[in-house]
Amino acid sequence: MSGARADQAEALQDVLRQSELAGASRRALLLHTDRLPPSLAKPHHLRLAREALNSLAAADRAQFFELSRGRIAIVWRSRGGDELFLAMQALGLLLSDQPDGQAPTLGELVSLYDLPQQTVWLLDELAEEPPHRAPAPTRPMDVQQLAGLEAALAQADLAQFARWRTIMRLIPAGPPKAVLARLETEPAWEERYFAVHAIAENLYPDRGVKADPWLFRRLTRTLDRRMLAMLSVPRDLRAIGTFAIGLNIATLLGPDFLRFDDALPLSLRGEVILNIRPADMLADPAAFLFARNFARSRSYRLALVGVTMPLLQVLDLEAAGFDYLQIKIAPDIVAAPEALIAIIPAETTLIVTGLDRASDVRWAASHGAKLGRGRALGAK
Amino acid sequence: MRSAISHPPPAPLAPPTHPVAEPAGPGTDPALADAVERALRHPQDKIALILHLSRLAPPAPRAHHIRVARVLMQDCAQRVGGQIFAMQNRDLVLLCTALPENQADAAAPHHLKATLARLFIADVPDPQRLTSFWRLDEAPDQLRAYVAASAANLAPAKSHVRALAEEMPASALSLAALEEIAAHAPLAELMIQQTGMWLGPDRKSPLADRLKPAFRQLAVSLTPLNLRPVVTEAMADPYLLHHCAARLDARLVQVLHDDLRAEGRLTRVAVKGGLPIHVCLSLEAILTPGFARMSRLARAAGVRLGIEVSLMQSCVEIELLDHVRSLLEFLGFSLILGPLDAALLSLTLPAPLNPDEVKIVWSANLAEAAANPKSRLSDTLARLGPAKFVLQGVDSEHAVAWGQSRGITRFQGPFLDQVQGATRMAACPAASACTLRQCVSRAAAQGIAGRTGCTNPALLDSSIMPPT
Repeated sequence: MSGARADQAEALQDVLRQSELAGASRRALLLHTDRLPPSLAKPHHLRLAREALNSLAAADRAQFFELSRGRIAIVWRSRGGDELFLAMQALGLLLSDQPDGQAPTLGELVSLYDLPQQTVWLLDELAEEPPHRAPAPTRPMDVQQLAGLEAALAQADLAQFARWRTIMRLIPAGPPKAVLARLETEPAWEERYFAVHAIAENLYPDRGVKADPWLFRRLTRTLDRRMLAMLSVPRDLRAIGTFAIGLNIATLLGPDFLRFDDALPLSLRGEVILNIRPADMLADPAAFLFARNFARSRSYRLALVGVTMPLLQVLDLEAAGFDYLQIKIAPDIVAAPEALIAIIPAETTLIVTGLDRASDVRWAASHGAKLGRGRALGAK
Repeated sequence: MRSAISHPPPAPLAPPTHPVAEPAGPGTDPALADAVERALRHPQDKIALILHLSRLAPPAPRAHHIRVARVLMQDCAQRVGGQIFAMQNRDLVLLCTALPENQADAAAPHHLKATLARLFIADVPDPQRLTSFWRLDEAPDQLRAYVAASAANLAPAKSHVRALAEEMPASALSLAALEEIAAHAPLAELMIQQTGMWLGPDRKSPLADRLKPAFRQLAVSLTPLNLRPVVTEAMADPYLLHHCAARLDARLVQVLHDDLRAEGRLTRVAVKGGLPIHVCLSLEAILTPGFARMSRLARAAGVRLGIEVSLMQSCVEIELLDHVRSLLEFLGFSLILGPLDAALLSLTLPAPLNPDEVKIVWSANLAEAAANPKSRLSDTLARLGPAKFVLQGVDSEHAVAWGQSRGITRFQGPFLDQVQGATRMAACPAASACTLRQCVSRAAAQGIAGRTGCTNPALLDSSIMPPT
């Protein structure tokens, strides 16, 4: 980071701290010019992007900050309705120069924050290290490429793309007050999954496999079926212990899962955790409720994965009835753990992931997490 | 656009369905009759467990209902020695030996009855009614009556089964057709409308006199394209549907833009503070320059827009929703969440998303959920207040009465389409040449082809002002 930009970053952090201390209501916008693809990151594009924000200069007490990686932050007072709208419209026009799917969405390019409530989110964003590798391609697959990919996946040997990672049990040792000082861990189960990016890079290196979230979700169903096929060999199943797999609801109610269920040895009955994502649960809630009760009747355990704190405010976890809730440690959770704890039903066990530092593990264990995953836990 | 396909305003946009071959061979009605008679010769310890899938409202039973229920019943049959019969009306019948009531085996018939009922909690208000459990030595007549009714075909004869997407591997051909639709379908010709109605609490005068237009929903119907089954099957996948809808949305916004600029028929009813217009859009579509251009024209014309977004997308892309909310707030347009059915309402708490309006879908399950004052639905109604709600899918006066009893004053659905159609026909000098069904269908259509046959098309779009 150059000296001038470092100064600007510090100045921005000062403003954020003052806003937080005074409880002063502000809005902040962060323009991620570093997320523009090369075709939109030429000097004139960057100039246009900066100019697009000029309308916000008219907002009450607006302050601009030039940050590292070409990012720009603006902080102002009040909602900034007119000025914000004009700025967003101008940015939208800049992106519209690109053919469909070759540019980030406005939501990816711009982050908005209500201060002081979301100060910690903005600070976290500012603290992010620059990416060490080339950004993933943002051009999405089209549906015909998806069909090709699905057909290829149906035949390909995916063993080389199969991965696993360990969920660890966090076991407090010693008297309650010493929990933070003495914490033991042991493997609880393995999560098995496919390295989707590696598969897609092999087959369509110039396309972003997640660039169209709907097509990506569709693709995961094909991967579900391949995973179930790999796991449906009773001899192999007997060799592994408790494990978790991510499944779509449609897969869980499909013939492939029923075959897998049929092949499941008695010793693993009750030892398989099915990871469900919120989008899939909400896409067809009646099918989810049916699948949940079917899975329970066959002694599977269910985990809700891929949630964030704002999403948890909207989900009724008690009604959803999961055995586990898996959430990645994030600044908003650390800042207000009581909000998370209040949401989790008594019968649901908390799993915290992203535990990459010893302090994360201690934080998770002291806030009700019985299970965790991350580099600091020593397992893969 | 999303709701135009998945949750259509008028009837022509039913979700894609495809027929499934009727079960054949052993296990159909004649085989059951023989087996029942054999079992009744020695009825001790024998039971019949019937899963009445024919009692589910269409589009159920869905393929997974049948598949999973059959596996569970098969398990039980293998455990205790029994046989399963698939009836023409989709019911499944298990004849087997009973186990002692204190038997803990989950596959035991008496446990299976409860398991099957639990599966359907989101599909019927009272899932216990879906199963019958008869001991043959105690209730031989009930089983005989059921078999006789089946033989006489008294039960619903045929149903359509909506399959989950995993059964429909979308071929490259159907996916290409999907792309073609998204890119080139003639949207202006495919536009349809449905008028939502306002109904005050006064119940003295006739219903038709008390109804007043509250808003007009515009959407796209793909029905006139006569899509091949392979394409409608691909569109039954909610994710492919979302992909297609997201692409169509940009074009829908352009259609609205062009109509506003030309002071066209789609938006004429809304100018200068007329009826609000409701349109379903994906969150991404609202943040495009095309939407900004269209909204500028709408604001200049005094058009009030309500933008309906899906709860699913709002939940999984909450940050995007925040941008959308800020933008719509600035524009003075409403943020509408919908359509929310009973199952979705049982799993979510929409109030924190701070919508201006919420559209909920009428069903017996919805009424059942709301009857419990501690249910999530009751909580949501209380938190947001009934004024924010629109009751969709209203198919009867009973549904209207239910909504009114909850304080809801805005309604949308086929029943209200028919009331409006009847009112139009009473005022139309050429009505004798038309049926009510034709009048309703033509009023929904915006394209020329959909209105063919009407000699008084101005009346189809007529509307009186909403209450102030």
